[in-house]
Amino acid sequence: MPITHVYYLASGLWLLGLAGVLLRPDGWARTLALVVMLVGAATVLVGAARAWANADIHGLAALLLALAGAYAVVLATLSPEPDREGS
Amino acid sequence: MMTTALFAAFAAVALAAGVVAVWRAPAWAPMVLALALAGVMLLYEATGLALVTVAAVGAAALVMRVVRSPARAGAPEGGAPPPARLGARRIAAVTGAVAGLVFVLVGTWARQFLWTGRELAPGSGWGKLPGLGAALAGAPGLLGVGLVIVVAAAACAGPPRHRI
Repeated sequence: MPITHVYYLASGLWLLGLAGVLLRPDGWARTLALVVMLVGAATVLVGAARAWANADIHGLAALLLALAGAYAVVLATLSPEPDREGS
Repeated sequence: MMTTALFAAFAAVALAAGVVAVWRAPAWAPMVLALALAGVMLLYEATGLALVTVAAVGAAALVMRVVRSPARAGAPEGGAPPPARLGARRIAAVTGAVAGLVFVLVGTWARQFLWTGRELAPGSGWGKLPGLGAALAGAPGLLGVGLVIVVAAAACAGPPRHRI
């Protein structure tokens, strides 16, 4: 399994999230896009751990994934609901 | 061969879930993304990370779903207003930013990972602008993904909210 495959997948996810962050106007969609970006970054570390045969990198990736989850939860609970009256 | 096919399937599901997450922002999209990435991580012998991915991102998706549920939100019937189009300037700016980023990413990764450990000869032009251009030209798949992302995100993005 070449490691480049997972790098391409990670770059696709990261760029996808970046486009969402830049283009979506509401906070909810931006939150999801940021989660996609963070998960893409963690995917890079999976490939790096395999490439260098270093399992320590898994710890960093796990931290990043936990951060993505916590980040999504906090922002989801803090983000205001869409106001149907236009404000 | 079988492993590559499995990876392609997992990657396709992950990218599709990412597209849906950016496009429509449903609360279930991160869960599908996490499951697909867990499959990828299993293929790359990161079993612990597969569990962490499903647990962390899946739990987040569950909470987001609860927060977003109509009963909690008290949303009126009729749903959200339909999104409108983006301005051409904004699309052009984002396209330029993403294209530049792809350019840098491909160049950096090509040097860091594809040719790991190889010393560059003194005076080598590798990594310079023509080299990066050649690297990008050799990655049509990545270019296509970037283009699709920008076009899809621009097509589905909503307008700024009207203020009274």
